[in-house]
Amino acid sequence: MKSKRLLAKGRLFASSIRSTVFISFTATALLAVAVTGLIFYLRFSNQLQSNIQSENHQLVEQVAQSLNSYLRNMIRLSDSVSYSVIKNRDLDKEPINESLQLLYNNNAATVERIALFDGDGTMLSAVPPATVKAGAHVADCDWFRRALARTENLHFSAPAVQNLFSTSSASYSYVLSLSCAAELTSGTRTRQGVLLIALKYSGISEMFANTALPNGGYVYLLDSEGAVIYHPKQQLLATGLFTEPSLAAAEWSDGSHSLSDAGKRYTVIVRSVGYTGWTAVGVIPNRGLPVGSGQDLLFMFMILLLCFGALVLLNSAISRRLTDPIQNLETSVQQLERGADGKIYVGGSDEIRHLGISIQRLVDQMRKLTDDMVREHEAKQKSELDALQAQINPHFLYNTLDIIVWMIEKGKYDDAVRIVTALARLFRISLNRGKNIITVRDELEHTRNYLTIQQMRYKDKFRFTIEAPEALLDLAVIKLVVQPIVENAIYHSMDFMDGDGLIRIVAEREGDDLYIRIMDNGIGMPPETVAMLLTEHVPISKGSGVGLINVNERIRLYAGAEYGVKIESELDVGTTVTLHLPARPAGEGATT
Amino acid sequence: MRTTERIILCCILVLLIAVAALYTAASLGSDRPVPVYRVSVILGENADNLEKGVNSAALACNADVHSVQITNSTPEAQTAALTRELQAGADAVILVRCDAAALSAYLDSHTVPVPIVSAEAPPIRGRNVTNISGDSAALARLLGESVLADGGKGSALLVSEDGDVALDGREEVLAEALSAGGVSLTVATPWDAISPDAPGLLIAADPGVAEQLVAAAPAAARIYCFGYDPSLRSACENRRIAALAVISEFDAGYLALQSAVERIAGDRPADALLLGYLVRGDNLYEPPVSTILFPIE
Repeated sequence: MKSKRLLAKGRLFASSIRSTVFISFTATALLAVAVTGLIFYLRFSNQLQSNIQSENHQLVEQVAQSLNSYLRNMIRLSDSVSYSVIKNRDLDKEPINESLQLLYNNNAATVERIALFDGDGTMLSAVPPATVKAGAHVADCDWFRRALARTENLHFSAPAVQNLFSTSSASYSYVLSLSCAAELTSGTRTRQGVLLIALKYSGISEMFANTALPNGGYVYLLDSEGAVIYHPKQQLLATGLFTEPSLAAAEWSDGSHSLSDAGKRYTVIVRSVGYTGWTAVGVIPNRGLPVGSGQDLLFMFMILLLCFGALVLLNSAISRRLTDPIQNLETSVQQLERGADGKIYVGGSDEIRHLGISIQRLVDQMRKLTDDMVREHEAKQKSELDALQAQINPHFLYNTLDIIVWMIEKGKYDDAVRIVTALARLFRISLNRGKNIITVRDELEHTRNYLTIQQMRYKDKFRFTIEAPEALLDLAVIKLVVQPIVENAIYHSMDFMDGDGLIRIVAEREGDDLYIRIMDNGIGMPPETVAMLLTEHVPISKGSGVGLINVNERIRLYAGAEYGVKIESELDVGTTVTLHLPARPAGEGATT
Repeated sequence: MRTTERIILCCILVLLIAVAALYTAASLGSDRPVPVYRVSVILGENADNLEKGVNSAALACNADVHSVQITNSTPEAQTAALTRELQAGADAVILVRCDAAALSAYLDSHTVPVPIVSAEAPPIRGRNVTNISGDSAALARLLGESVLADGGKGSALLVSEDGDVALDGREEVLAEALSAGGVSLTVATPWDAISPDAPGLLIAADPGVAEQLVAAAPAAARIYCFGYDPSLRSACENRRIAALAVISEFDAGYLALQSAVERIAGDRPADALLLGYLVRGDNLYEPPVSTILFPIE
């Protein structure tokens, strides 16, 4: 049920890395096992086939050699009779029966009879003693004629029922005739005769009958003309009840041959038998060869399945080992996505570990960037708040209003008008519809108004100048960055001046940079104080409370780290504070 | 382990169990001893060649042959022997030259649980019976033609011990074959055949009658015979018997046992009709006649 659901959802072979690895490995293993199995099967099958064939060859070879040996013995017997018993012996004076009997006795197991015939077919001697059947014409017999026709050779005939000699019983026997010409001596006269050695057929048939080839195979013997000398089913062959498919083997070369007959396949091993021209033929039906048996195939299939099962388990372990670290990594990334504050998994192989470390670094960097952004945002908010505070510094406003009141009481209406005007402009620019970026013109105007107010508050203890080329007045600048510097100059330098104080504000452009320098000729500062001003929050006892650090941070937040505030100061000479800003037109980058 | 892996492993396990079961079954099958069939052969006299055929087939078919020789081959003796062999637990019984009528009656009245093979006898009908017999008509035709080929003229006697009993229709075919050469045929007993008035053409219905004819018939009489017996060899060799119409008894025995084993194994082999051969003095030792008369063991 679950499998059905999985199949329906297409998740059974889901494309997870583990499934992919497992299925790929398993498919590869299956292919490898199948190919290996096939190769081994073919290899061993061929090897076994070859071994079987070799054994079969050896069996046929053994039969052929036994037959050769048997025939050699018979030839030796024939030679013995010819040369030791018959030749140079005066048959009229020296009977040969005793010698023949001796040789016969030695070979009685394989020899049926030994007989000597005169050239006209008259029997001269025979052991065991026998008489030629009445009506038998020896001279017409094939073996007799062949012996006289080719006197230099020995002649073997096909097996036949022995019908030459009279026998007392109704029994019969099959014999093979070995005949050869013999030189008969009578006194001083020599003539051709024929020696007949009737070989027992059982001598050959037993040799073949005892040789069994696999799968019901058998060995049989053909003579040089293709007639069957021995066949295990010779009787059935004679009446056509059995048909030998390989009877043409007499004309085949020695070796192994394939034969197909009536839908059956056979391996036929042919081995010629030396002197006689006979051919020993082994016939092995191909069906049911041991390597092709169902049992062997089942066994091999079982082994292959076991191997495949083991490989699947191994694949499972390997894929788990390979993919578990990836899954752990994925899980930790997912947890991170969900907002958990866990560590990224680092483990597994080198590549996965490296990936984990890289992701962890990335996460760390992201966290740092996020923290920085938060911090910057907070700093920006703070500096803006500070700037806002500077705009509405109540202490400054109170003092200014106090002066205005004083001026009015003293009848200095023009001065009062002037300071009120300056204050009004100061507030207009300070508010400036909430914009943070204003033009240089407005910033300097704001500063001028501020300085005007302060100049009147400080009873002209200092003078001020503002120098800015017309071309720079429409450039953008962060609101209220000059005024805090001027304020510092007033409180920390001009306060001690006695009418000769000077504050110079110079705006300059160098390339794409805008420099606004606030220079005073006050008491100056030692270098360590200068160094402290931009790194530590120095408590401000007077003024708006907006320090150099605030201005510096605001410029850098607005323009980048390469911009900011630079302080140059020399004791008893004065201080120059340079605001370094990008020279951007007021329309660009103006933010609210 | 995931579902995919579990499914694949389960499939492998199931396949493995199935293959192991098949392998075990195959192994048990291969270890099982080859069955040996116990076949009884009830033989009459002069059935040496047939017995050789039976023994030869027994080697090929892995059968254990139990031969029962009946000296006096009467129908009663045959059925008694059959009963004994059935009681002894034979897997199949081969009856040689049995009395077809008697055996048919026996099979009708008895339930025979094992296959019966009848060899060299007129065909017998039965659910579990296979017949291996010579083609009587063909043999008769062969012998009739040989009589004519030898220049036979006038009339001929078909000599049977029991008159026209057990001639199995041969007389009609023989008469028909002879009539083509103008030779008439009469069925007679051996006694009629050896009378001085008997015609010169004598056709013995079986080897037993032929032996009597060889011994008692006039020397001028040409004797023909259905069947072969070793005792007739010399008579044939010296032309006392002109021709013999024979079948291969070896083949009959071989096929009989083969059919019996096939029946035991559950097959239903068809009846076999064997070819006939003509044996004469001049081809007695020539194949295939020589191998039919003198089977190679």
